[in-house]
Formats: sequence, C-alpha cells, structure tokens
Amino acid sequence: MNAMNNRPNDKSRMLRRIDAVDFAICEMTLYLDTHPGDTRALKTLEQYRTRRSELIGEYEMRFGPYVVTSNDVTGNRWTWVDNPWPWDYQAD
Amino acid sequence: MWQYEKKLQYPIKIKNPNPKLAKIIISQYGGPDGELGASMRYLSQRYSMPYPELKGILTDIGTEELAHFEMIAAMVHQLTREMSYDEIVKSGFDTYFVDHTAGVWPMAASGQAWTSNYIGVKGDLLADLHEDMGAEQKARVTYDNLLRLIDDPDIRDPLKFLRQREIVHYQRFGEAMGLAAEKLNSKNFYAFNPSFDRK
Repeated sequence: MNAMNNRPNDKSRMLRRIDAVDFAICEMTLYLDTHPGDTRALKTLEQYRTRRSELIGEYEMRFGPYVVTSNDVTGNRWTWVDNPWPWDYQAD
Repeated sequence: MWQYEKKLQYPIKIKNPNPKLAKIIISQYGGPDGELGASMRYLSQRYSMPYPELKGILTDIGTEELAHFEMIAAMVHQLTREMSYDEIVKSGFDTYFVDHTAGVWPMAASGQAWTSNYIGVKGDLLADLHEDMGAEQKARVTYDNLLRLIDDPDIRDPLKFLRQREIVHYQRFGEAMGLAAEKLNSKNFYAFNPSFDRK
C-alpha cells in the first residue's frame, strides 16, 4: 500500500469515476430486469462491468478495501475499519 | 444476502450544518413515503411474485432503496454535526435531541415513528405493483416538497438525484405491470390475480 504517495484529491476523483460506472450498471440492471432479452443492453452492461473491475482493482491497490471481502488483507492491520466511513463529512 | 460497499451511491458533503433542515429531511429516512419503507415494501413483496422479472426488479430496486436510506442518514448526520446547545434550542431541534441526541432514528418529520403500516404487502402481484407505482410517486412528491423548502445547493444536489431515481423506479414498475398483465390470462380483462380462483 502506498497511500502516502497519493495526492489528497486522487481518492475522491477515483471514487467519482467508480460512482459513475456503478450508476450506469445500476441503470442497466433495472432496465434488464424488465427487458431480459435485450442483447444490446447486455453487451453494454458487460462493458461497464469490465471497466468497473479495473477501477476497483486500481482503487483497492491504492486506497484500501472497497468491499469487506476484498483480497487486500495483507499487512498487519484490518484497514476495513479505518475512517472515514461513507457518511462522515470527511469522507471522499 | 447482501454485501456492503464502503461508499455512498451518490456523494453527500454538506458544508453548513443545519439541524432545522435535518428535522424535515428525516422524513425520507423513516416517514410514510421514505426510503426505509420503500426498501421494506419491495424486499417483502418479492416472495409472492410469480414471474422471475418481478422477483428481479423488486430485489434490485429494494436494494437500491437501502443505498438511498443510507444517503438520507448521511445528510441528517452531517446537518446535525457540531451543534451548540444554543443552536439546538433555536433551530427547534431540541424536541428530537431530547429523545435521540444526534442519533439518526427512523421517523416522519411530523413526529410519528416508522411503522410497517406505511407499506403494503398484499401477496397479489397486481395489488402490490399498483402500490409500488403509487409509492414512487408519493416519494417523488416528498422530494419536491423538500426542494421547495431548501435552498442550500449541497443539500439540493443529492435530493435532486434521489428525486430522479423515484421517476426511474416508477417507469420500471410500470414495465413490470405491463409484463404481469401480458402473462396473466388474456381473457381476464379486469386484471385480478387468477391464481387463487382456479379450482
């Protein structure tokens, strides 16, 4: 983990990129629930999913776990508990 | 099952605390048309749905509502940070403070505790999907009302996002209703659920 080398805004910029991809995935998911046979939508969803896993991989490497089941459990501290939590004013 | 993602669906960062506004925004946490009720309504209705698309849409919208529930809590939490006793009294937050301090408790702005009476689970796809479309419109109106009462752009921005989500959910429930109607007996033009009436 090289959190020291990151500029303070990098984390928040990265989270906003994940937010945007997640939002697209959320929209595609609800759409596909009522249009399960739409192959074009399925292809679009697949592209967003690939992008998401790239972004999450990069995020976890630089800033720590994104989900509790994250593979990033190396080191001598359970960083999942570390502040900020999403509802904190200090959150990115 | 569910898995937590350590972020909000849409960021909340409110520079200026304002306990008076927290007191009205909390209605979307635990009020009659709030996000807790939305989530419980959809997640509880899933089990009696006969078609896979309906199980899917209720699961996924019900899950998104939990993320909205968390966003509203984040707003209330940030609006009530670092309050002085003077501010608590002057803002009228004292009536909430005496019972919950700065904790976030599901209640309506008009004072009632959250109750499952806010939600309908009838075990009938048409009754339940009609309820859901109405619920999305009522939630949208509540966001309209909050936007009428609030000027701070830090609060308006996420409220507008949430309002838009109600509109999208209404659209998807409308499509779900269409799917349901197609799959039901086409002779059943009064659109009641025929599954209980077969003998």
